Amino acid sequence: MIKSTAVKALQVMLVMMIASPMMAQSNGLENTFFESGKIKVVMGVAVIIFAGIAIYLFRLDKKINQLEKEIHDEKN
Amino acid sequence: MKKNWWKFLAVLLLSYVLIATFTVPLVPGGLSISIDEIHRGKQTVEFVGYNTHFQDNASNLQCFVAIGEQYLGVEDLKITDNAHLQFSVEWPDTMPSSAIAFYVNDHVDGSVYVSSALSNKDIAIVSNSKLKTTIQPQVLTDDHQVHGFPFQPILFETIRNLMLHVPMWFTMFFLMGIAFVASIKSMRGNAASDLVAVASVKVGLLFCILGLITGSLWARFTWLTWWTKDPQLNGALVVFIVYVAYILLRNSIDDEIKRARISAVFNLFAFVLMIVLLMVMPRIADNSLHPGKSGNPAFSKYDLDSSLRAVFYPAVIGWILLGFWIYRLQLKFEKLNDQINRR
Repeated sequence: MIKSTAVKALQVMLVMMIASPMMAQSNGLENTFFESGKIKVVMGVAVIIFAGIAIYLFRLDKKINQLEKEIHDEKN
Repeated sequence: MKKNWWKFLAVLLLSYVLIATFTVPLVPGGLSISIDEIHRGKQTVEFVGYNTHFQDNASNLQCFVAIGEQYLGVEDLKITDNAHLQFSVEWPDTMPSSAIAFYVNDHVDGSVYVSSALSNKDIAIVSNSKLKTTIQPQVLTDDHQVHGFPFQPILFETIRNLMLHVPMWFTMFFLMGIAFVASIKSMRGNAASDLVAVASVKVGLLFCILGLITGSLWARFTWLTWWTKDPQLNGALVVFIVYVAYILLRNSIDDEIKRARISAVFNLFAFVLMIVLLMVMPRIADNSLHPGKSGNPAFSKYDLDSSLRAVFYPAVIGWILLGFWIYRLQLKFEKLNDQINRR
């Protein structure tokens, strides 16, 4: 329970920091982001936001359901 | 249904924002030119436009080079297609300025230009020299026939991120504001407010992470680096760490009353720190790349014109409502969790 959002958030940040220099070295995919007016950057940003919110909501939903089940079981 | 009107508003606003963000075109602009060095004599230049209509306007199209405040005509104009044309420039031996811009004017796209840093090989810069001006530029009014988001050099299409990346921070501010008020209430003895504070900080952190990652991605392809010494960036990272510290601190105290009081005090300081680091410091500092900071204009007519405002303001409201929605779910979780822990 204590290992909660905050710890998970730190993990995400760590992965991001480690992954960044690695991505900077591989230029093939990266260069395509400069093409056609850099539109892929906008798509990337949108994907990150929706994936982030979706993952957060799925996890939250799961946790709420678990607690509700616990409370329900205790009542019976 | 009546109670949840703001949820419908959130869905409505965000639908409008997303459709507009991805469908409104950019107004025409100059993307690039093929040379990066100039020298005396004739040089062939390829001009690349974006969303332009060179071919369709071949009959009334005008190309010229602006050197300082004087104009130099071009020769051998050859239009390849709507986005590409070629011309040659006969550079003089002396010219009045090193500020050079390549212009293409036509009646559909308006005035389209590229001004990039060119290295000068052997042309003397004499400030009072006169060019043999061979051209009188057409005067074009600003009303393009193509309407859309403004074309900004370097940004290009990523100007659309204004509706995605920027509202993340507005939403974070809003949620941390809820937490701030809740913490004050909590200190005055309202026990339930502690849960409100922790729920809104958790959702605020989600938006903070999204803002950091999307900002980093945007920076990579405009500022050419994942992270830079911008006071806004480092400030945002410090704020993120401080709020993570708030969650960790709160989780580490078992006694309920103590936990509520200590975390509330910490949260007050965290909010003040956030205001200072994200709203005050970047404006004082002189090395911020963000618009609106250290003399960079935001909300000026160049950065945020009416076509952007029409989408940006609904975007801010829509994302804040969505953030509030998620916060309510998180609060539900915190209350259930509290209920179980009390047994």
